[in-house]
This record gives sequence, structure tokens and C-alpha cells, in this order.
Amino acid sequence: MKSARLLRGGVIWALLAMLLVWSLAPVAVMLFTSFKPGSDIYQVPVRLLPDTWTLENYRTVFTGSNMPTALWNSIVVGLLVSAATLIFCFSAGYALARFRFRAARPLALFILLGQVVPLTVVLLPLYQFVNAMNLLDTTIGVAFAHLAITVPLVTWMVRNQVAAIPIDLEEAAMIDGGSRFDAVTYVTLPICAPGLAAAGMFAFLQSWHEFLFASVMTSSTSARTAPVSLTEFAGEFSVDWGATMAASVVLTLPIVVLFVALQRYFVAGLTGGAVKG
Amino acid sequence: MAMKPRTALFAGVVGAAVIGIGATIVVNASGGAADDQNTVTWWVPDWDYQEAVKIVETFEADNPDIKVELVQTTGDTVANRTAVALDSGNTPDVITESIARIRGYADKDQLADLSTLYGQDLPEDDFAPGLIDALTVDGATYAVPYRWATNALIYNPALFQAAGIDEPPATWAEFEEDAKKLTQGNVVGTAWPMQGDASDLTLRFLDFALSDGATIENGLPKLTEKSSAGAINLIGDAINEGWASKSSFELDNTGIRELFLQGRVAMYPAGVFDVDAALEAGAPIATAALPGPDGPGTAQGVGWAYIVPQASQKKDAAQKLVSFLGQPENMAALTLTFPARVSASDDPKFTTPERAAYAEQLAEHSVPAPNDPRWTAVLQQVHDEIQKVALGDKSAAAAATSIQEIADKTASN
Repeated sequence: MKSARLLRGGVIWALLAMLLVWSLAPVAVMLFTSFKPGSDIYQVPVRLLPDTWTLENYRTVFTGSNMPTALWNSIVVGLLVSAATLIFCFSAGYALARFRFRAARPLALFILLGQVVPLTVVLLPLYQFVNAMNLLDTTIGVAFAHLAITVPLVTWMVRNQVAAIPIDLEEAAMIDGGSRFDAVTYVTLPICAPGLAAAGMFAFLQSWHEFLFASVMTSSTSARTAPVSLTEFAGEFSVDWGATMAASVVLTLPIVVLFVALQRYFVAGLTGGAVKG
Repeated sequence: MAMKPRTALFAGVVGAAVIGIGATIVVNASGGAADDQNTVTWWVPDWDYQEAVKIVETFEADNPDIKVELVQTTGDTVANRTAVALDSGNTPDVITESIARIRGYADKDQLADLSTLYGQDLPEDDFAPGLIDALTVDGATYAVPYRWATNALIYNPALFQAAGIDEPPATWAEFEEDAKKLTQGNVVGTAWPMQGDASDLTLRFLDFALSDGATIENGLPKLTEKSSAGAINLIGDAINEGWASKSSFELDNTGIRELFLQGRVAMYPAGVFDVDAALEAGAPIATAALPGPDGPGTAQGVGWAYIVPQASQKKDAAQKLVSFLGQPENMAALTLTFPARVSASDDPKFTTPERAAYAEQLAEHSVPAPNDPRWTAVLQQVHDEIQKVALGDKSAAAAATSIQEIADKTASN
């Protein structure tokens, strides 16, 4: 009996170890390649660790490319997208969860349709929309385009979170003399806070790594976001893999730090309302 | 009823955000309409940017009534951006684009006819053979090419000497024989770019197929099973049999070049950029025409050109700029490979001994690459068929049949 349990535990740990290697191997290759000089990247036999450690690739990224500006642009766009997503989606999600009207359910499903339409399909209309507002080649224009990605799913996330909160709590606040707005700000919002933090982070993540819209909506280096700026390291005839990997590390690190810091809220927020709604 | 503090704060923040967003839209929508009628916008790839800045300074000095705004594109984004800009009608005035994609835009009437630019300043017969024809649809020429390149054979003379080989291979049989001799220890005879962009591999495939009877008609390859099988044999079977590197599955063009510089790949078909990289690194290098079935093989010419979108509001100024860029000295300055005009080839940087094989390949054994978008759409399928042969999952003959079906279906669409 004990040996069977040990065997089962061993198999589970082995599977978990394989999953870990499968997941982390590309990250390890990215990280260590970023510290390799050009001659080490293609050495045979292949080695994970550099023979000679160098920061040259990072120097290229920070002093010989537009990546610093692009990273700043990505942060600006991400924050704008997060803020706008939360404002729009909380309003919409709350309305869908709390107000009874004939088209509530079809409308909710219609919003979700935005999530299943391929991005290439909405690219041209969005481009024309952003162009009509004269926002092409601006960080605000990119943020507008990214809202098309974040709004549908976040609206649903928020709707489910609000629906999971007993309406009795809001009614109690209103019986005590508060308005609906008071009930929302004093009761619903504090309860929803972890979920909203997760939704905001989700929106930020979506915006942070988005490539297609950002590559089409921006033309100058002053508005390019970091994923688009990564392509600068691929020339007409060659790819600077060392610099590409260093830039990828720079691009990944803030997100990993953010995720680790807010992991508790993220998981709680994503599962909030999962059993009722 | 007085608003509670937290509610007031919440309403204030949301209100400010909504007003901010609204104001941004209104300010941009109303203020951005003024467009400088004297400014021509040119989308230029980042590898040309530095030289383009200098050329534009000269152009602006010669044409004080025209200003040029340079906007950098990258190789990975230019296709999408150009396609969306042309589809939306919101375009720059001049775009540097790959010649392979221009026919697709012309078919959709998205480009201005530049035929009138050709003449005394831009003599058609000064351009590489077949090049202007490849950019002409129904009698209208839609681009001015400036950069033209092809593959030739790059080889390591030191490794050849060590293997007892005196001459580079001139035929496929010699190529295979030499590659087998060269494959020993850490060295492999050759390698193929199976990773990365599918077009890297299919370009090599089509070079070999064109050398063995395939043709290009109206921008679309006309293959035969025999020509495909021979080409697949040189790529897929070579990997399967071991005289081309097994690591081909993990290699792109950059990877093969790096292995060549390390002396681990003895020869491979590549562009002239790789020659410059090898010379810069001090690696032993020599060049020769691509081998064919019985003699020099055919290679595809690929390159870049200037286009003026039909939707451009400043076509006259844009065409003036394009005509200026098409002058031999400007063409030479912006070209890392070969210029599209023969008269621009006199520049010393195009006449080094290592470039002689490329010049010969371009002048005598090259054809413009297919530029029908239907072919571009099936490149991945063709790539996958060749890969199956390399993996030993399919014979060259069976893959040739599949590729023939793909090509026939493409032509009939």
C-alpha cells in the first residue's frame, strides 16, 4: 500500500518536473542567450550557459536601439488600457449584472462575440476608426485599439463578479439612506476590488504583449511599443539573436514581477463569481 | 441629498477620466486635419534609414518646395502596415516595399501608375533583365525597383582543399559528391534553412526547380513533378541522408551563416550579404554560380522597389522623389546587394572579386521571383512537404506529387 502511494507520488512528481522543464526551458534559453556573445550563440555542441558572460546585448538594447522609448510607450499604453477598461467594463458589467431589461442576456452574449472574432478581421475597421480620430501613430491610438481586445472579456469577468455579490448588501445600504451610487462605492466596489485588480492586470498584460494592432497603428519610433520594437533587431538579412533575447528579457521581467506581486489578487479575481452568476 | 465622500471621489475620478478621453478625441479629431501639402511621407525600412536621411537632404536642397518626412518601418511589420494602409486609403506618399508583394497591390488598383517616370532619366533598358516586366501589369508599371539580389554558392576554400576538392561544384551531381566528401567530423557539406520564414526554404527549392525545367509565368511558378522531385532530393533527401546538416531543422539563414563562419558548414546558397559578413569576420570564403543539373543553375532575383499609393494626395511630389531615388548614385547608396540599374553597378562596392559570381548569376542565370500573392499563400504548405522528406516521412517523388497538386490548385484559383 505504502509502496503504491510512493510510486504514485513519484509519477506525479516526475510529471510535474517534466511540465516545469517544458515550461521553463524556453525562458532559460532566452535568459542565458541574452548573456552570450554572438560567437557562443551558434556554438556546437549547443550549451545552455554562456562560455563568456557579456552584457553587450543589454547595452545594445538600452543604448543602440529604440527599446527604452518603446518600453515607456508600452507602460503608458498598458496603464491607459487598464484604466479605461476598468471604467468601461465596471459600468457595463454592473449594468448587465444588476439591471433587468429585455436585451440583457443577448447583449451580454453579443459583447462576448468580440472575444471570438479574429483580430485580423477587426484590424481594418479599427484602423479606420483610429484614423478618423487622428490618433494614428500615437500611444493613445494604440490604447484605443487594445480596448477592442480587453473590453469584451473583462466586461464578462466583472459582470460575473458583481452578480456573485448578494444584491441584499446593496439594498441594505440603500435602506440605510444611501443612493445606488453609495451602495456601489461603499459595498460593491470594495468587495469587487480583488477582481477588479485582476481585470486591470489582465488588461495590462493583453496590451503589454500585443503586436498586430500596435505594429499597424504606429509608424514612428516615438509611438512604437516594445513588442514592435523587438522587430528592429531583425534586419533584412540577419537577426541579432543576442539583442533580441536581451530585449525579450527586459520585456518579460516587469510582467513577471507584477504577476508575482499581485498573484493572490489575480487568481482570486479570475475565480470570483465562478460558482454564481 | 448630499453625496457621500467616497461616492463623490469615485464620481470625480470616473468623470475626469471620461472627460479626458472625450477631450483627447475631440482635440485630435478637430486639430489634426491640417496636412502640410508640401510634405511627402516616405515609409523607409530601418536598414535604409541612415542613408535615406542623407539622400533626402540633397533632394530637399534641389527641391526647396518639397519636404520629405521619413517614417521607419521594420522588415517584420512593413507588409502588414502597407496592406492595411492601402486597404484603408490612408497612405503615405512613397513606400519602400518588397518586389514580391507589389503585384498583389497592383491587382487591387491600389498603386499609382509610374510608367511616365521611365524614359530619359530612368531608361527601362538600364534595369536588370525582366525586372520592369515583373512590375508591369496590363501595360502599367507600378514601381521603380532599386535593389536587386540573388543567391549564388558560397563555399569555404580551406575545407574544400582539406577534402581534396579543387573546384566548386558546377552540377548537382558534383554538389552531392562534394558535399558527401566534405561531411566529416564536425563539418557538413551543406545546410538548409528549415526554421524561420517558410520563404527562405522555398526560395532554394524553387531555384533548383527552375534550374530543371520549371518556369515562372505571370508571376506564378509552373512546376513539373520532375523539376520538383530533383529540387526536393537536393534539400530533403540531403538532410535525411546526412550530407546536409541534420540541424537544418533548427536553422534559419542567420544560423547557417554562423555555422559557415565557424567552419562547420562547407558550402551553401546564399545572398551577397553573407559574403560581406564572412569577409568582415575574416573567414575563408569564395563564391561560384549556383550548380544546376548540367551546368550553372537558375536563381531567382528578389529585391525592393518604390511604390506610390493611388490614394496619395501628393502624387506629383512623390513621383519627383521616386525619380530622384531611382538615379544611379542614389540607388547605389541605398543598396547592400546589387542595384537594379546596370549603370549603378559601376560603384566599386559592387565589383569586388567575391561579387563576380553574383553579378554573373544575376546577368545570365536569374529570373524575377514569383510575385503572385497566390504563390505566397501556399509557401508554408510547400515548405512542409519538403520537411516531410527531410524527416523521412515521405519520398521525394510523393512530395513532388503533393507540391504539384498545390501548384495546380493555386493556378486554378
